[in-house]
Amino acid sequence: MRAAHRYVNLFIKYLNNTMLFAMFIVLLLQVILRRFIDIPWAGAEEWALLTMVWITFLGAYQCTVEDSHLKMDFLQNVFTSKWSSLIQIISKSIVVWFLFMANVWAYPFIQSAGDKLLPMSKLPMWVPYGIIWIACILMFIEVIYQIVKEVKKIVISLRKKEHNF
Amino acid sequence: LPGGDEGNKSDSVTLTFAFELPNDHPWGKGAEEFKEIVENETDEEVKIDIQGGGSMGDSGSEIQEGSSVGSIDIGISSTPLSEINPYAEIFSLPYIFETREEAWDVLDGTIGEEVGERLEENDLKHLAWWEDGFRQVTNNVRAIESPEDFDKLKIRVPESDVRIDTFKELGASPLSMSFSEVFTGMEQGSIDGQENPLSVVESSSYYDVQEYLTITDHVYTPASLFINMDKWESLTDEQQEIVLKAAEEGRDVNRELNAEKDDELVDSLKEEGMEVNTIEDPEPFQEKTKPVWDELADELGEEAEDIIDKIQDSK
Amino acid sequence: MTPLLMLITILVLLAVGVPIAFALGVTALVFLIFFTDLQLNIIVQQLFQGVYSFPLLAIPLFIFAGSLMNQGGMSKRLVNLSLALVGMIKGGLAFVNVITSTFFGAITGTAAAASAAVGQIMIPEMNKDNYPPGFSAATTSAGSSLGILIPPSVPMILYGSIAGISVADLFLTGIPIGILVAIGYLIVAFILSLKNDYGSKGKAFSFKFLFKTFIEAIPALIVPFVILGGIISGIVTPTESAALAVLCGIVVGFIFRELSWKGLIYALEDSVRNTALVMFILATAGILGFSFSALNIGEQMIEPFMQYADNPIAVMLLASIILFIGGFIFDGTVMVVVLVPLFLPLVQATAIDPLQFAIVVIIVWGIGQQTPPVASGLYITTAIANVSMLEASKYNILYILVLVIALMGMIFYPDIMLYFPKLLIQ
Ligand code: NA
Ligand code: NA
Repeated sequence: MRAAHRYVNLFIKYLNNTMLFAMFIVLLLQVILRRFIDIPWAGAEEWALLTMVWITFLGAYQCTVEDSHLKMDFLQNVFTSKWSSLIQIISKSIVVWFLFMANVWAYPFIQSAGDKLLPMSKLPMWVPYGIIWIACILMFIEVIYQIVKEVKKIVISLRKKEHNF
Repeated sequence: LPGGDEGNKSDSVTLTFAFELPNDHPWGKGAEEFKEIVENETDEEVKIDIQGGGSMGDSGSEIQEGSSVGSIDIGISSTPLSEINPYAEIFSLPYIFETREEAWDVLDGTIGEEVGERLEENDLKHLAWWEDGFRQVTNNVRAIESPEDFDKLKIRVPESDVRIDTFKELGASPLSMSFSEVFTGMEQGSIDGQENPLSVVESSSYYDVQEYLTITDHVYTPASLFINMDKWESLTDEQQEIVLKAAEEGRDVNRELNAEKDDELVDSLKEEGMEVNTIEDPEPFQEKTKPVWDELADELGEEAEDIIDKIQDSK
Repeated sequence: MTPLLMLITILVLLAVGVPIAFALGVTALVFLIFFTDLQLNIIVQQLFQGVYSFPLLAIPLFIFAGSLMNQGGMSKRLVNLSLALVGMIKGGLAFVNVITSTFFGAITGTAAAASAAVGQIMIPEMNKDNYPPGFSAATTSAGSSLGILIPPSVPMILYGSIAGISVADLFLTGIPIGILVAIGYLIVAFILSLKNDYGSKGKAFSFKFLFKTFIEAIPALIVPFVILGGIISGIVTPTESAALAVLCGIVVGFIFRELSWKGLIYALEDSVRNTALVMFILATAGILGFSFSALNIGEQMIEPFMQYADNPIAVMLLASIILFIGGFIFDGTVMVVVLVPLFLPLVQATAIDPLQFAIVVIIVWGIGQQTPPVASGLYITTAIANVSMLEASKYNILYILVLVIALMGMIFYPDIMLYFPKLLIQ
């Protein structure tokens, strides 16, 4: 389980890096083809934006794993560890709710809007929408995993207390 | 809050009406007419909430998608319509219509209906053909008088194969570029020109960075006014009739204003310092772009060929 | 009323530690569920639309370029050149810091990239020379705002694309304004160093040293001309200039022989993370923006301002105050995408010079990068200096004052402030 978690993360990190480099290459080619070879590449913008969608959402997954999303955790720092765990569970549950809603609504939406083609690259819309969906599912699983860890912490600290009495 | 206190009356329904252009654009004026008629004639049983200026979606793509999944009730889409209804592209073939009236006749007749009905595959009920109008070319190199003048001009076009092919056939180097980059692109010379309806040339201040405006009328862009199918079916027969009628009245306002405005716009663009010329004889341009028609017909098949023939016969 | 409720919801969510991106999305979703009867399967579309915009590509690419230039040794060479220029003055490292930031501002488009590059070298150096760490962090953080005032500038690209004004003009306007602010920073650094007796004297000035460091820095000094030249000659569009900056980063890295394969991978990884942080917030802000339209919040927010529609100064002051307050918790990108479009019709009605309003917004954006808790200038610098944001802010207030003075100048004396820019544009 833990190994699978690590490999998935590593794989996605690697893909994210590749996508960013691909974005650079696409824009560079667009300039070269338009300016110096005079054969404009009509689909370039769509491909570049596809890499952007990838980096945004699977990058957000990476940030979820590393717990590096921008936030203000001053409340968590104020309280003792048990309370801080509880607040973490609350805030993570709110995140889980959002991701759950996004995932539930994504399916019917992609079903009805996914067939449409991007005008120049002829890429079906389910590709970018699917990337967002997969990222949301991965984040959902990851945050649940983090909540379970926090719950375990609380349980352990409660047990310790029992022993003390 | 919208939909909150007003939605309490169980027999009244509020329909959102979204489009990407500002409220004072002919689409907005048409939408006002539409709203007035629907609300008056249904005794406010059907209310219209106009959401112009891109507030519910800032492109036709987004709006047609929103309407087909039901987050928007009524919407307008022009060029992006062909993404979900490739047959709409037929109307945007180069020089297929020479005058507005010609286009209106076809669109308001059985052909327009036939093509409009194809939106039903996307859960959209087509109500009427509004318009974006004829598109014109601006550039910084020379006035366009004959097709040869297009030679090697870097013209930005919207993301559409037909449009790209049209300008290729004319000898230009068409390219798609994000709308937001077009102004700076023309100012700094990354591109030579662009093509759009005159209202866009004016509202985007292209006159500041473009020297020549040629009234080419190379493409007529219709726009479909559509409603989400479930919402349509939830209306009573009588309400449906009123909505259809209002759609047509709004369409007429849209068309009239467009025609009026185009004349005014030519004058004001001249005042801004653009050199304006008009192509009097479109025939050489038609000749050159004919292959685009055949290509589209090949791609879409017999039915499309049929529609093209019918449009030709109707003239 | 609704806007206030939404703001409170966002603040409560932030207080319990919900990441900003999710706080925005959750708030939008809650209000859409309770106050509208819209079909919410649209949420994926809005997440998509929030990032599916060509000019936004400038964000990841300029972040990447900044990281590459840092990995490729450019910042080190610029620091050396600044040392040769002003290192001999007492308290000189603070000046070196500001001047390096000015140079670096001219080769990168975001503040975060500038603060990381300059901070990693300058803050340890300043620590060695006994400057208070809070002061070192503040000086670097403030300097990083030059990254968005001096072209190339991601905020200017985004603002230009949203407001439909020429990015090239914005860039040219940014040069003199950025230099003015840099001079203001130098004055602040001078006053603080002199008053508190910071730092020691560096090496005496020598032409030889200046010449040597200048030669070494030439490739880095050429970069701004390549980027600006590329745009002005029309070879690249402003957004594409970000790709040109990445190319410069790679090529110069190879010329210096300092960019390794490992460095490239590190730059990619670092940039993906920083891009996702900004862009994911922008994606969920897309849902928030959608809820604004669905709930008619734009109108509700702008209505109180309509009474000032005949007073340009009032409109600009009010817009600045709103963006300043918002700037404590929102990144400028989110505000420009969600809030600024609400103001634009008013700006048009009031006949404010679009260029003037644009620079007003960009300067407030720069101020927002200095005000904690969400302050992209302070994140990296305080981490390197190992001080709290509050500690750094004690020193930063004076630098922020420089930006506020520039802002007031822009609002009240646009003719003076835009005199040189207008000359440049013509
Ligand atoms: Na910059
Ligand atoms: Na801030």
